[in-house]
Amino acid sequence: MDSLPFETVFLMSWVGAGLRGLLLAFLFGAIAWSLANRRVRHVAALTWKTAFRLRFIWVMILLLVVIVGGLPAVLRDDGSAKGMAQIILTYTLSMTTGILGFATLWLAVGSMARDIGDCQMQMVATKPIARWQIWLGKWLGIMGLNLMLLGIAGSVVYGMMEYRASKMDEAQYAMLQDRSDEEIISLAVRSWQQGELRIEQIVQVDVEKKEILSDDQGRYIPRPVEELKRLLASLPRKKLREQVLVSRAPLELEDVLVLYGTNNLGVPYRDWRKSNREDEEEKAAQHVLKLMQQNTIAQQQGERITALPPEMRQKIKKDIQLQYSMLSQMVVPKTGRRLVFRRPRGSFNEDRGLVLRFQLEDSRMTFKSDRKYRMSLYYSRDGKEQGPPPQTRLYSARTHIEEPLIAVARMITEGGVTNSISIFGTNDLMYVDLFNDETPQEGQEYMGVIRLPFVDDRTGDLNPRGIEVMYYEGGFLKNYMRALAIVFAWLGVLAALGLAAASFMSFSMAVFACTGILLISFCTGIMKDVVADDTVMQTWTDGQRDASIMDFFAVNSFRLMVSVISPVKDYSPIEDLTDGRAITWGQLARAYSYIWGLSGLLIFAGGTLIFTRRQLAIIDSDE
Amino acid sequence: MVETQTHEETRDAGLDANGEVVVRVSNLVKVFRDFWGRPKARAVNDVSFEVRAGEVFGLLGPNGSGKSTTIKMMLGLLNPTKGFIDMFGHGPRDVKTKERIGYLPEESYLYKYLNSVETLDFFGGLFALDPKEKKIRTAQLLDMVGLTATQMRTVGEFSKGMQRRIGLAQALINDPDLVILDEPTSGLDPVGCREIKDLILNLKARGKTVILSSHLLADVEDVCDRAVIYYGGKVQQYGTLEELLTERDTIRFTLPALSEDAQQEVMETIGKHVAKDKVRVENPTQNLESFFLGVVENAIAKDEHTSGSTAGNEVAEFLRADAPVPTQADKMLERLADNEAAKPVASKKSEPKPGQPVVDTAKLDALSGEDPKKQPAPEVSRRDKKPNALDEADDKLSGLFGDD
Repeated sequence: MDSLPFETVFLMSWVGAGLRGLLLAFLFGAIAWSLANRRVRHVAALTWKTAFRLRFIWVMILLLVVIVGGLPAVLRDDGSAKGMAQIILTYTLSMTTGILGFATLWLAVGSMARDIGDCQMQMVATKPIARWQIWLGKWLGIMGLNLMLLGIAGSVVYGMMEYRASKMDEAQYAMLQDRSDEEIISLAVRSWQQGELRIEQIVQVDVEKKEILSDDQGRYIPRPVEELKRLLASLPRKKLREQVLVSRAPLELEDVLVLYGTNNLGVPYRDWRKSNREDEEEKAAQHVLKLMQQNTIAQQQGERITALPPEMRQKIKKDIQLQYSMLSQMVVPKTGRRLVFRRPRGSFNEDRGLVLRFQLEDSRMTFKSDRKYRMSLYYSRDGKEQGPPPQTRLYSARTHIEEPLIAVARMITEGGVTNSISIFGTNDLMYVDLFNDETPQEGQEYMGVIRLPFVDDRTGDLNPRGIEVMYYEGGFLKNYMRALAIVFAWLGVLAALGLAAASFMSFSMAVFACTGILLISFCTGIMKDVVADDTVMQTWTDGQRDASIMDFFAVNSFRLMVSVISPVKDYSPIEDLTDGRAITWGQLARAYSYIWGLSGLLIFAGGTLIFTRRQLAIIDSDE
Repeated sequence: MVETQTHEETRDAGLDANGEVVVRVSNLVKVFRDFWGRPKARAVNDVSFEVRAGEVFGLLGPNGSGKSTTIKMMLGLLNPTKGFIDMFGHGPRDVKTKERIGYLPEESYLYKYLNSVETLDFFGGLFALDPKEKKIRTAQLLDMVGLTATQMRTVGEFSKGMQRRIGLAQALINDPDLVILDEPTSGLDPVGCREIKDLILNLKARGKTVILSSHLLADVEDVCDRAVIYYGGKVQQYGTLEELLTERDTIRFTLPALSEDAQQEVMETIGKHVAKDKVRVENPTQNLESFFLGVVENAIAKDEHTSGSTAGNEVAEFLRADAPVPTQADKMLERLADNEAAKPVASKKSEPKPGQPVVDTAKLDALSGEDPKKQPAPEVSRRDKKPNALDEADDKLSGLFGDD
């Protein structure tokens, strides 16, 4: 993609999106039409009846209730409310998805293979219903069952989360009862230091004078311990609501600039990367060429190398790209990175504020988990002085850090008019500066370099999930429903896969084949490596990767599989949900367009074609 | 059929009414192959025949002779290797064609976990029948096949005979123009066999076409107008039963019992023309089927209880020849308007036998001016009588409206 002009890439992405949209519209149109068709509805209803009569549905409900209700009871979290919620959501939803996925596959294969094997399909196929309608009717029936089961499991999980959240204050308060007054005050002060509480919440304040009250010895007077206990007990729930049980969408990261001082800016990352990389690529290529020309063997053979082979040039490019990606993320002491974010396209609730979410890494290979790294944070509407004062903080490495940011400042003028100043300037941009405030001791190994991972190391592009500023997009329930909707889309593909396999295979063979396909789809990492290496060989000779006669077939087929599976696999909603990250309507539409519009439709077309051509009166011997 | 007829259907219906060919099988070949594509068996080998509207057509042959394979190709369940099948002017897989076909397979291929009502509701649903109409037909069909009392039992609990009965009911749920019955009497008790045969005759009386596949010769002989006889995948014989069965060099007299003197006198007269060892004199015996049906009829008269299917039930009203179904009458009127000279006879009747269900063909008999009690054996009647086409039409029309 790097070699294509921007206009071409832009056009291709829009054409692709348009095609996927058309496919999706066609698919939903077909589903709507099918639901209105009496014959298709009868086949769907029979699938329901089968599931109930063969006790499949009761077993599934029991299994789901045991998993969803029982699993959280045996799981151990890190003790925090956020950890508890993440464990519940991750495990229960993953297990629910896994069980439903497998059950869907089983039911789809069983429903079709059994009907064909037991010859009931011959009775149905001789009635005035097209074969593809039978296929679609079965799919709709299975998806109806999935909707019900997912609804039950989803409701139980949601109800459990809400129940636990509502009981959290009491549980925390009970735990604080054993603590001494000093410990409670100490905890309150620590919470203030971490930005969880405001100063006026923990000490007594003269509201009129706007002063903190002190005792005779000049010490601040804390608020009553009982009040502090209640306040501290409410913090985990507050954190849970703000960080997990919420839907927060990220702002678009426009660019990243290098900061050499407060206002001393380097070249924007995109330009910097391009210009430097191209220079270095050329330099490196010339250097390698020179080395090759000096190669004695080549001279002996009388061969004069005048240009680098294309594959070698490609490899140099890749190496340079990787080096620049790594280099750009290394923030040496007294320098920083300025991240430019764009305001959301639609309206959003500015009063709910913004959250900066990131994690940093020690540049060394090893690090101590208890070490803190000093950084200062400044954000503004113009990159200069229009923003809250800078804050200096100590952060842990490799943990998700969340910093609340103010999105709008409201001031009441003397005339009583409220003025609002948004953190987004007239160009709809906001600037976030992260500055490395570490001070390395001279002569020590540690140089104080911090890594801020804002680049996708694989592509070298800006990683939209590296450093994020997120805004409040909506409540948890809305996000949760959209996450379940993506799980539902996945189940739809599995149902189609099962039906397609059973359209031409016996039950046992179809289950085997589907399981194989699922396993392969989980192994895209290996396939990606083969595609990146351009060979299946893992051995080297004379510094060169060995090649195999299988490469042509394997690399190309893996490339095709990766290109089909990867975009679909990218839509995993559970991780986003547990991070409190919004699954937007746009994402949902894109997920459906990929999962259903592309892979689902392909499987549907293939499956119905095979089923339509199949001679139903010929039964496989193992049926 | 509750749906409004399209232009195409009306045209097709007109063709049927003229006694046109509704099924045409030409040079049909089916070769089963193994995994590598090598031929395993030639199940059907260059078979050709035609089935005309309103006739009962028999596919006769021993097991494995290719009857069922032919039927499955006609239903689109198998693809012909070579040859051509035309069903109502369309291919076998055409959805419009299937709307006019009812099929009873050789085995019970029903959903074992559904009960009788659900089974009929499901298959009726595939014909997009109006729910109200579907309910009425379901009740009538269950009554006809004697499963009303067991309608809430699942098909899996049924005996083979009961499964055949519910299978038959589903084949008739759409009031089909063409009924394909593959070994319909297999697994049925003699009462059931008789009922099936009567039903076939009743369908025929309503102008329906029936294709009957069987290796039971008596079944075919009782009801079929024409038949093909298969052996080794090939058609060995093809024609009307009269053509196939008549022994031209032999005749039989059936008389009331004569005194010994009278017998002697007749024998002497015959002896002048035929050698004595060529003449056979005997008392006709009642066949076992007739005897058995008589026993069952007596039991029913004594109100004996049974937990299985009941016998002696009426043909479903929507299937009866005298059913006051306006849509069918309209359809028939339309057909008659096309001068159906070759239309099969509507007034042909089955032989009244003990245990026979109350098929009300009396009206038709009365209209045709024939006394059913005086009527000779039905086989002779059906084959010999060539009634005037207009009389037939009148009979049928009157029957449909229920006029006496």
